[in-house]
Amino acid sequence: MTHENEAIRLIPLFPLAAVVVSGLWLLFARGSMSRGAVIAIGCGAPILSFLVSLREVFQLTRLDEGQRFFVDNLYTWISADPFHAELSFLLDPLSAVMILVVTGVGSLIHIYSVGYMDDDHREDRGFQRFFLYLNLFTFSMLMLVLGDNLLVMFVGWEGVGLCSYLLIGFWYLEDHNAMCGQKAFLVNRIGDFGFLLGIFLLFWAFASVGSPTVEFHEMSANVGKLADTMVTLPPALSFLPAFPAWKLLTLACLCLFVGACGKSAQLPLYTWLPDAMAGPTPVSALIHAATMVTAGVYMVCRMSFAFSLAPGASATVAWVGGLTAVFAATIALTQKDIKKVLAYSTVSQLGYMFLAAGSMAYSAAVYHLATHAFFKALLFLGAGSVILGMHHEQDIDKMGGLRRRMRWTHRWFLCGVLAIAGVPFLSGFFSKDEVLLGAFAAHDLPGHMALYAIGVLTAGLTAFYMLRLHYRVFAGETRATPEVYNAVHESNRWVLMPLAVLAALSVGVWLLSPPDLWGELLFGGMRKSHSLHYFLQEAAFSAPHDVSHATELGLAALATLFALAGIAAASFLYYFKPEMVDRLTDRVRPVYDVLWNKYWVDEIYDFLIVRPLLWVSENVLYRLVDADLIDRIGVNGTARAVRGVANRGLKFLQTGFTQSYLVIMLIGALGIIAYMMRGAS
Amino acid sequence: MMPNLDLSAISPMIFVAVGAILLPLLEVLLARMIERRRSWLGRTVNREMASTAIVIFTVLLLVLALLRTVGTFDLPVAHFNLDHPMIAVDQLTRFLNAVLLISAILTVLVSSRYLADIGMDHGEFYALLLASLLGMMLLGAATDLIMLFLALELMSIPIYALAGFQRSSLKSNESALKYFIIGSFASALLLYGCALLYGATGTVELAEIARGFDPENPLTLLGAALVLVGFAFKIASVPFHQWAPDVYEGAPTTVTGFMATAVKVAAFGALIRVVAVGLQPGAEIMYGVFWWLAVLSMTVGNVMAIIQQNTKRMLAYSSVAHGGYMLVGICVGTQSGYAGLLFYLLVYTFMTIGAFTVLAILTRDGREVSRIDDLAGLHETHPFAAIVMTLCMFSLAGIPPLAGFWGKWYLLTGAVERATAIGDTSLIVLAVVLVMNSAISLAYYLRLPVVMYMREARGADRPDATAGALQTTVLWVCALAIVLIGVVPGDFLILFGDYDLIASARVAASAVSP
Repeated sequence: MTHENEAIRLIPLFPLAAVVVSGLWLLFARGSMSRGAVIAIGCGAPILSFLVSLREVFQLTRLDEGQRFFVDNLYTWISADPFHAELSFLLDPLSAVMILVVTGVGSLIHIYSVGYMDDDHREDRGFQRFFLYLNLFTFSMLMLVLGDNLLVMFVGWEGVGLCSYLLIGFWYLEDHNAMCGQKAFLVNRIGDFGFLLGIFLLFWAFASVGSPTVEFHEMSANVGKLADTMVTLPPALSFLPAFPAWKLLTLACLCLFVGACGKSAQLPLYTWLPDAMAGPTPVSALIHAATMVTAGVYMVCRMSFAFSLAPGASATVAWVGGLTAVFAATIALTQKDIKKVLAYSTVSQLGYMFLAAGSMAYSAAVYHLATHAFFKALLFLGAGSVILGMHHEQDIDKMGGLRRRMRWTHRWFLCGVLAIAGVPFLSGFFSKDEVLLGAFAAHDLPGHMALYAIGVLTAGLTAFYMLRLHYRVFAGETRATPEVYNAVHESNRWVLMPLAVLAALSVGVWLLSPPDLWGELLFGGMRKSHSLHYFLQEAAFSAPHDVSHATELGLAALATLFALAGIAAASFLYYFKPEMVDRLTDRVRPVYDVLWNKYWVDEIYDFLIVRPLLWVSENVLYRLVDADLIDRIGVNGTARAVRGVANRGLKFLQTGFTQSYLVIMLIGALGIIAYMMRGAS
Repeated sequence: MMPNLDLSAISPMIFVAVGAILLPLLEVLLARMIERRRSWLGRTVNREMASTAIVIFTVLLLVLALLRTVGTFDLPVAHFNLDHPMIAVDQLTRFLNAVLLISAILTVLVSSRYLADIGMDHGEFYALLLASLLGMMLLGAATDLIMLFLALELMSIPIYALAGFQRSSLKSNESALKYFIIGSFASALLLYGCALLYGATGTVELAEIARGFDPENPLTLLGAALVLVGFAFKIASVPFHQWAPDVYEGAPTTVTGFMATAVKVAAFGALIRVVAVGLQPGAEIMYGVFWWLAVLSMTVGNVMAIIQQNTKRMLAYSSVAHGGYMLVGICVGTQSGYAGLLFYLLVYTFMTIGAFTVLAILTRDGREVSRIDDLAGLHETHPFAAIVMTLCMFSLAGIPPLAGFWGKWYLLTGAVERATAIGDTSLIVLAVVLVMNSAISLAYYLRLPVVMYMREARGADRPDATAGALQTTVLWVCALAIVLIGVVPGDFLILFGDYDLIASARVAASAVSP
């Protein structure tokens, strides 16, 4: 059985080719390609990738159990004995799920973008540039998920970060957008630094046990050797007070998780994601909801062999995830910008995924990742359709009653809302239950019951703020001015078609692989191997749980109860008795203010980190170190000294007279002769 | 020993020799045809056609010779003997010849247009160039002192003539005369050294000299010292460098480029052979000499280059400094040291010819763009030339990942390896001096890009640049070489055939190293 499969490279190749063609055009030709060509190239590439992905994933499922992986080795990237890094791709169940999400949802969003970016005349070549960046993003993301070692993954990791930066600031003529792009980039740098440290640490650790590698299969095979290695300080640092007795793997995994926190917007590095909403809405849907921000979750699952041997690190992951989930959900309760609500919701849902990954229920994390990709992309695209219809108005206080003017958008959006709210038998319901079950069953996780409680509470909050959003936008009487309201129009087909597909997926994607319990209950004879949980076991082994079916159903009922309570509360407040909202808000004014101001986290960061840094940078580093020490004394001083020596000392020897040259040569020759003959007898 | 006249081994040299002999005849023939208004292929022969024919003929010969050289690189050593070995065609010779031929081809391609621009479009130019090239190729191959001296003179005398080729220019004349007088002086010292070595050892063959080398015998030492002085002049090493700025400035620009590269390549090649074979027993005594020559050349060359206002003089001092860098390879004196040097010669050839080509292109109606400030605004008038110039400057300064960086890298690693192997701190000092000098050199290398990109061209003095097709080709070749040698890792070069350049340099160096 060979695992070589050269078709894998086609998957990232299509978007790359599109980038190259389109990029060369932009570099060398004047003007833009024709609209049709841009659409054909820009949308064709991800669609072709999707088709190839489908085919290869199908091939993958036909392989024997336990042997399901394809490798496509392009060439040796770094060869520095004994270390080798190949540029090669790995398609296993984990990356299979990821590429289907990336290329599938990605294709739909590309198509949607045709309709959404249609009115973009702010810059003459913006349309083509936009698709170029989207394709570049798709390529980078595929490198990230397909890379079979940490280095290739890191290349993709940085690539998606770059694209995120480019696309957040896509409308760069407005300063605010450019600043938001920078913020995302800088916050991600902090995370990437941790990620890099983790890679170095792992490589060093694996090298010290005789297998210098960053390749996933090899690391996984050798990770047992590191299970009991403790962190030891190098002799040079022995003066430091005793370091807590940490396992090396724990430290490495924590470093990796810092990277995941940055990319996936977890506490305390989440602040960039709400600001990233400055980008065009398809970008928010693709990058900041469905794919890039889940890279951190993917990485933790990919490194599950290490995390599962580092319980301390896993517990940190779970707690950070759980706290982020509830923290972001509370902020989302009060926000008024339609995209900000969705952004905090994304942060919260990513927290869910980390909660599952930290509970070692990796399949639950990936399951929720996949379903979330569908319904959150749907919600963002729906929001985009609303924004289009409202002519770039994003404040939900100025919406309302849009149901009558945007029938289809309303319907599809509602599918997404109900899916994320956890209404039974929609996809979000199943994946959320898996996550909560994972936390409930993780007996080794300190405080797992508290985390479960947080998860259930968050489910209620989620249902509440999503329904609130829906009512504020679509229900009741409009709060928009009559001129605006009358100008609202339904979006075009390019926009509505992807919405319909995503709505169908949000409702029914779970049918492809229902969780074990539901598969048995609903479809009786369905074989176990159909569940995603079972499929993923060989790529990321999830700890088995001992929860009985009855308990599991009870848990599901409890979560559903909370979700329905959230829905009921939101319906009561925002549909039946909207006039009560203000009174209630006044009642809880202090709490409301805290949430409305997002716990003042941005302000705190600004005060604690940004300003001191700027002060040191301006006064110490720039004025003192750079201007005085380096420029005046170092650079200019040396230059003046050299020039002085040359002008006063050496220049006079260069007279231009042949005679004097000969004299100097003669002196030199005599010098050499004297030097050489000093040893002669 | 039986005479061994393996002509196929020296066929590249024969190509060049044939060219040197036939070109004057061809020139006369063409001049006749022009005079009598003969037509060829239906067109009346004019000066332009004639010079095109000559360039095509010359380049064809040189390319054939280059292909032959590269194609036979891996063949075993071929000796060309009379009663004792006089010429050795080994990997070192072939490597040097390849570099020399590349330098000559590039020079010829640039020259045709340039000569027309300065009104000196005569076929003798190419004949002289080929004669000199023949001397260079033989110089690197010479294994006895007589051949060595003959080759040296064969190389030098046509170069004197070439330096003064622009007869109408006073500076060109001065340049030729100065070069000739000082060169004769140096040749005399070298010849005297050869004579003394012969007197001390009783042989002119390098391998035999090594056998009879007595480090205590004053005659031997004096002879060795004088030979070194002769080479130090040819490579323009401080304090035997003072001719270089004057000669480089006065000579026609393309000749300067040829001198700055090919003469250095040939002289260093011969120096490697002389030091590693003939004078090997005196290596420890000579080490100090080379050490001081290297340090002085690097430092004085770079410091003096900073205060130059004339581009060609600046490049002349830069070439002195690069001679110093290369001497580090001689100081190391191991295979990796020599390999680093040879690799450096190759990349140095591309970046220097590239820089001089840009200067040659800017020459119009005999008026040179002499001062650095005259390059202001070049990026507007000829963006490609400005890019190539910038690449050359960055590469000369050794900025990664360009070729020049790797040249310095291999020299440095050679020095550090050797220093750690024998525990010699003076080599570490040398490496440190090299690095510090690279930093100093940025001061003047970066000045050109600054002037070209950040300063406005001034009305009348706008550099006027329209490169001919051949000249543009040379710019492309140099730019690509600088970038590709620098950027593309070894693994990738296999795509273009098995040309791992540093590995070839190692093979070449192993031909002579102990």
